[in-house]
Amino acid sequence: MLNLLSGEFYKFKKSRSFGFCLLSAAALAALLYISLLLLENIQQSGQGVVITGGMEESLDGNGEPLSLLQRIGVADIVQQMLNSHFSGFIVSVFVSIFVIGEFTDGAVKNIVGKGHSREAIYLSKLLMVVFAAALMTWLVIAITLCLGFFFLGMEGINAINWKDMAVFAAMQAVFEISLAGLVMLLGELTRSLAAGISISIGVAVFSSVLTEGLDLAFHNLGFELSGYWVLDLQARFPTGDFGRETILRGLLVSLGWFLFAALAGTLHFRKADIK
Amino acid sequence: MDYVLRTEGVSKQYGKHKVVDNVSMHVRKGDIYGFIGKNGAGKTTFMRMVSGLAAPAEGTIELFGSQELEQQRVRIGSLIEKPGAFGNMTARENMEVVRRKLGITEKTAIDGILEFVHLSQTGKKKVKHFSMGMKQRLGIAIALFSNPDFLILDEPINGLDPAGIKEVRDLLLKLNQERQITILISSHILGELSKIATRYGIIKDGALVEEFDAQELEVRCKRCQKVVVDDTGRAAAILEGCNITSYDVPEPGVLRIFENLEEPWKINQELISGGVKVSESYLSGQDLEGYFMELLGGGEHA
Repeated sequence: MLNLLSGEFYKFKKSRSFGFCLLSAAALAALLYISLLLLENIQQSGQGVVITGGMEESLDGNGEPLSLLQRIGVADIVQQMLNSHFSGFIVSVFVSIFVIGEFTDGAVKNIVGKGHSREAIYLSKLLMVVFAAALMTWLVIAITLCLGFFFLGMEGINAINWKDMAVFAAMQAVFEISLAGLVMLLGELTRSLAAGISISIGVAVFSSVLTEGLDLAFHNLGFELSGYWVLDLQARFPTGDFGRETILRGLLVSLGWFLFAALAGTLHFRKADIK
Repeated sequence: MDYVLRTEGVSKQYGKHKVVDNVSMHVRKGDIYGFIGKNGAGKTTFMRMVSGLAAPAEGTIELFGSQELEQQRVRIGSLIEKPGAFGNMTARENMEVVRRKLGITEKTAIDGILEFVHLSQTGKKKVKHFSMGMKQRLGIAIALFSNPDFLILDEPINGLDPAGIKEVRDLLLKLNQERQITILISSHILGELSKIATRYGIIKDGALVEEFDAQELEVRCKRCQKVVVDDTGRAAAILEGCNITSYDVPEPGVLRIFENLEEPWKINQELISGGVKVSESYLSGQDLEGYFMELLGGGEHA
């Protein structure tokens, strides 16, 4: 297993797709900040009104009114990056390329039947994907925080509750790991880059719409499907004031989906022919 | 007899279509076994089953005299369909991934194997920019990395230019002769295959039609006069009386005569005047490619 992991890690190190995905995330975060700045300018120039959803008109230390960006705060922008599935989208693309690439390039044939069980081969890839998903999540958070410093200065960073941010970052990594496991399962089932990426992105971006619809359809039964779907829990997860139940539910649901994906993927890989 | 690979009744079915049908193959130690069949005949599926990439629906596979396939497959190197390499990595980086995964501790092993397949000078060139020949040689290098005793190569000379084909042919002969590696190789280029194979297996519509040695193939392809007679014993005695000793009886009632081919009518005359009933007499013999085509059932792409 250690040999397999060593090979996977080397492959990861050489993979340029991780860097490209991270760059895309950084660009998205920068765009988010820039679009808020643009909104602020629109409001100040009197060309339009920005509806800030009940945000109070606060004043800074000098008695000046806070800008839109300052009122939203860096923590909320981090939340926007994670909870709106921007990072989920990017993790899905990376995992699909990383896992399915091995099937399309045919490189998986070099290892199967060479002294490693198929279960070990699948699990080594899954562990690599877990590592990559967690790293990607934390790097996205770190990049968004750095951009926050760039756009808002030290004041924006000082406003962050770091203890809450640490819990938020840990939980987001848990959600992304669970998603990565599911994306890897889809990759294993499809073994086609185009199909794998498009289905995974579809799941990452649109599944919440589906669960919301189902919630509405079955609200009479008093059962909320979205409460058991990892991406919905990720979307709802706050940046502070976490209830114990919110964290526990997030952990258990993520673990459940991850174990399901790991088991189903391993079973399929064990039986399926490799072309 | 030491068999590296022995299968009994191996079959594989996709839906209702039987891709491999009851194949019993025998590859002996030291063989270069040419596996011949048309496109879709089942060669690749069979090789994938032997390599552990697909499971047979029926039948048994024995490697190195054992049915403990997981353990024995460590001794196999394979190149099935196309070389398995990451396009965005160099040859060396691809080899490094394999080295780590196979747990080969000796880092310098990569240099040796790349040197062996003439890829040591490719430097930072990504595999996606390699020529077909270079990719095939990298595939062979990866297959050789675990120092196998048995090499399974599916169309390794496909798409190569004549120089590339010669290079791979020389490499395979070297592996077989210097390292005593047994090779199972499929190829469409039958003439090329006949330059290296010591044994052949013909697969048609999923079934292994025939297995024979290279010597047997030579005899089968040798130009001869075939005579169908009522009494082969009497006919043989007449031939001996005419000082014709190079002949055989491949099946009852059929004689193959390998000399005096310039005057075949003389033999017919001798046999008839000796009281032997000759129902057919004709000259036979063809090149290897023609013979394989006949076995495969027509002139379609083999």
